[in-house]
This record gives sequence, C-alpha cells and structure tokens, in this order.
Amino acid sequence: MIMFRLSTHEELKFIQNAIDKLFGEKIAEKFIQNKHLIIGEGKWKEIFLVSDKMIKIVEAIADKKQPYSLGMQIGELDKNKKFKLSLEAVFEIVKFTSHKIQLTAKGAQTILYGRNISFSAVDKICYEARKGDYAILLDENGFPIGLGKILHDFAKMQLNRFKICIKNIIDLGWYLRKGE
Amino acid sequence: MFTEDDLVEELAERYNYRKYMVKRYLEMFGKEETVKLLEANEQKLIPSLRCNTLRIDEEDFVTLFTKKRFVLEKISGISYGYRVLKTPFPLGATNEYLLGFYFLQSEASMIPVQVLDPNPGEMILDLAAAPGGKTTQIAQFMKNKGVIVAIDINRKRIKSLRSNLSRCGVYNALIIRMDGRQISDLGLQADKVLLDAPCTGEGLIPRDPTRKTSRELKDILYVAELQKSLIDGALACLKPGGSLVYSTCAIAPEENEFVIDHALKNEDIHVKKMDFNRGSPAFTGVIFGETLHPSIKEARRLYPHKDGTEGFFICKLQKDS
Repeated sequence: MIMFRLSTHEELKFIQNAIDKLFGEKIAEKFIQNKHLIIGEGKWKEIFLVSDKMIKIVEAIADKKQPYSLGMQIGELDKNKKFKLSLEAVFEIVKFTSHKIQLTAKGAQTILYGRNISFSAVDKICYEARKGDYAILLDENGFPIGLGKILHDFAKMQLNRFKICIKNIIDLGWYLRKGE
Repeated sequence: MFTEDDLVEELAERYNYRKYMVKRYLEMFGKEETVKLLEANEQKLIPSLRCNTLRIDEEDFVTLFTKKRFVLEKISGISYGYRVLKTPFPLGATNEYLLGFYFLQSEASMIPVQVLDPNPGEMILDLAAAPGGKTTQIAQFMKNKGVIVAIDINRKRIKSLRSNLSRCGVYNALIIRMDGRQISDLGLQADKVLLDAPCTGEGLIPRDPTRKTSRELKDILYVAELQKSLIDGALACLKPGGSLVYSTCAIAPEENEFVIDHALKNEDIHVKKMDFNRGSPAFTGVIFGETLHPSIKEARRLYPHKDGTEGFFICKLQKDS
C-alpha cells in the first residue's frame, strides 16, 4: 500500500538540487513555486506537486482514504535514491530551461518510438550542450516530446553524424506503449 | 391480422435486436420514431474531439490541424468541441494526441461538463471518472485551478484515468480508488458534482452493435439500483446551493428519469433548467407504470435519429438545503 505524506526538508532539497543539476540554476524554484511536495511511499517513492487546497482535502480524508494519485507527478526516487523525472515535469520545466534540443521530424518520430538518436536527427541545439547533460527534446514544431541524455560532445559528433549521440530517457510514446 | 407482437418480431429480426428492447421502444416512441431510431443506429456517427487548451491555444490547434489536412467543424454550443469531417491519419495515434492537444470525445459526452460549468478555484466531485474524458474537460474549464476529486473503483480503468490526466496536463485532480456509493463517508462538500453514471450503454449502439443483444431487462434494473445509490451518495457530498449534473448514455427511463425521480422524492433538491437547447425533453407523466415528477421535463434526451449523437440523457439538479 502506498502512504502519502509531505516531503521532509531533506527530500525537498534533494529534489530541488536534482532538478537544478539537470536543467540549470533556480529552475526548481521557478517550477515548484509555492506548491508542496507530497511523497507517495511504497516499493519506491513517487513525488507529487500539490496545491494548498488539495493538501487540505488530503489531510481531511487521510484517516478514511489514501489517494491513488494527486496533483502533478513530477518523478520517482528509486531504491538507489536516483531521481527520475516524469513526462509531466518535462512539459512544465521546458518553459523555464534553456536545456533543449530541437529534432528533425524523422528524429522526433524515432524518439517517440522509444529509440535513441544520432546527430543527423538533431536540427538545433539551444544551449552549450556537453557530454553527460540531460536535455528536453523538442519535435520539429518546437513541442516537448521527451528527455534525452547526451552521450558524446556534439563537436566530435559532427564527424560521425550517424553514431548514436542522444539516449532516450523518457518520451511521450510511453502513453501509447504503457499508459493506457 | 398484423398485431403489435408481429411488429416487435419483425423489427427485432430485421435489425437484430432482442425483442424486449423493440417492445419498449414502441411503448416509448411509437412505431414511426422507433423505426427511425433503429435505422439511425445502423449509421456511423461523426467522430469528434475536444481541443485541450491546457496544452495548446485553440486557434493554434485549428491552424496546426488544418495544415495537417484534417477537416474540423466547430460544434455550436460546446466550448472547444469539433466534429472531425476528414482525417488523413487515425486520431488516436498522432503526435498531437500524445502531446495532449486534444481528447477524443463524443459530441454528446461533452455536454455534461458544459452544463456543469466548473470554474477556477472550485471543488468539483467527479464520480465514476475513468477513463477521464470529462475529468480533463472539467480541469480545462477550471484552468487547472481548484480541486477535482475524481473517483473510480475499477483498477484497470483508473490507470487509464491517471494516464489521460497526465497526457492532458491536468494537475488539479485528486484521484481516489473507491466505490462511489460510499463517497459520503469521506465527508466532502463539493461546489459541484458530476455523476456520469455507469449504465447499460444502450445509447451507444451506433458505436457498439453488440449492445443490441448483450443485455437483458434485469441488467437495466440492476444498474438502475446502482445509479440510485450513486446519486444518493453524490447529493450527500454537495454543498447547499450547489449543482449536480447526472448523465448516462442509456435509453431506458429506469436509468434516467426514474433515478432523478427517486432523488427528487428523497432529497431537498429541484431540477434546474439548463442553458442548453439541444435534444428533446425527458419523459414525464406515466411510463412503464411509474408516475414521474413533472419538473423532469427540464432534463434532456439526445438520440441518433434526431440529434446525430449517441443516445444520451442529461439532468441538472440544485441542492436547496
């Protein structure tokens, strides 16, 4: 059974740091604003971003029912304390971060099939991306479709355009593959 | 001599229905309209969708879809609703679908939320919420502000509810898995309640012809009892002055007018006239041996042969004290 509770100060700091590390300084603050983090604790921890009003309702019914889900699920903390960002969070953080890479139409399609992509699928890099960075992947129209990890420095990749250079971490195709 | 029994047999055989259904249609609508209903149930309905303004501006959506060679027609009286007259690709597998730019939702099923009229900051209770078409529509009206308490009991369907809320960018929903009949145990007091009740789906025959033969009268009576328990629980969670919208995709009065009549007899409520002028007035007077409250005429029924939609029932109630 999953039990829901407010995050501790340490958990909040840990998640804020994880988001800032992924997307740049003060991004977590802009993203979380005045909302609260709720932890759903079961086999692993799910993290939800919730309004004041919703917290009051959850508290009022806590002795009768636990939620199934609430607010925005921003990610998970696995057993090794590794933070995994959700698609919902990707959709919101894209408004604040410059860590974005725009793909070609073919590249976007490849990502939506859950695959990794090569440099030939990259249309535009919106910041100084480096090996090991995480970046939000945009489709050809500039809409966010997933999160990728950069496997090599792009400067070197120009020499081998067909070598896999972005690892698919999460993508919207999940909704078709596993969501429903 | 050609008797009514002969007519029932002939129509049931011609359109492949159970006889009890045709017999009831003849009692409800008369011969001419029954034939029109049965005939219309053979036709495909025009698909429709709701543009999700939580994810995309409506104007941008129309531009994007027009560029992709979709032909859309705005549905009058339904905010963000469009009929899809031409589709170059299947609607359930486009990138725009994954981006949550629209929800595939039938025209009739967009009406209950339109009538409920949720506003930002309110607390809305959505009973039998999965798979989330109406929940995402409520969140859209609320601009993600306030709280939706979305209830469903079905383990599989609640997963798709969660997935749909995520896909459509709904962040103000609190999902609880429980039997809606026990909802009053939580002690909630909602500004508005949507009860799109589980039903036998008789109105969905244009989409699902198996319904012509899959249910017996006893199924209708069983579901009607469930619906009465759900509306009792839902009304107990409504603030005085608050409104409840009850809807089904059922044709049988037992699942519609009888449920409203039951609530009117037991609760301090009244039927509200809806700011919505489609469909036909609901049944009043005596039907199938029950005398119905005259105010139920303010509820609306939609039919495939009259409205080009699946069979649907909508009623708005207001709690007096």
